[in-house]
Amino acid sequence: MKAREMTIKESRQKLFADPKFQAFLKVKIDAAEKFLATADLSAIKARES
Amino acid sequence: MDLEFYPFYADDDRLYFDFLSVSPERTIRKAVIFTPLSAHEVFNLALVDVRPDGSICDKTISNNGDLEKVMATVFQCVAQFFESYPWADIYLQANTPARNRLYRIIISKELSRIKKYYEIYGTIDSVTETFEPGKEYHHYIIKSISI
Repeated sequence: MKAREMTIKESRQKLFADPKFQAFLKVKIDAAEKFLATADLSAIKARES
Repeated sequence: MDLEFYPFYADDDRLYFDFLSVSPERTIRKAVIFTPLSAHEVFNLALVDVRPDGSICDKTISNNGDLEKVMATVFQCVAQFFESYPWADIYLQANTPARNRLYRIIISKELSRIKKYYEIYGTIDSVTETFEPGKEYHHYIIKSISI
């Protein structure tokens, strides 16, 4: 279990150290931020209120 | 969910998961990453293929013949994420039309079961509505209703 725990942490560290992954994630995040800023989310807000 | 899924592992903060997609031809490590957005209650969900050296795989379609099982595993990760972040919303957008179609199929297939736990919204042309099976959404937002 400990060995597997190290493996997932190492896997995460390696992935986040990869510039291509960072570029991929930035594109995804920017698109998500743009979506949240511009989309009509009134259906969700109506359910929350 | 009743769909078959792969065993998966979660990092302690449950923002990073990985599992192995297995076919007779190859085994592909996949990672599910939740990233907080500037609206702090919203997290982006990303699914990526990871090379043996730990770097991201550029190919957008891995063609391992198990997309349904992969997506069922992703939704298991979503369930674990919500155990730690029940107040959060998850935003996801498919990389490809094929994957987007699969999101829609799996959500539709499991909707009667998962709607007890989640509110699912889909977006068409920037307008978000409660998810309805058969509609072609481009973005999805998932909210837990278990809190």
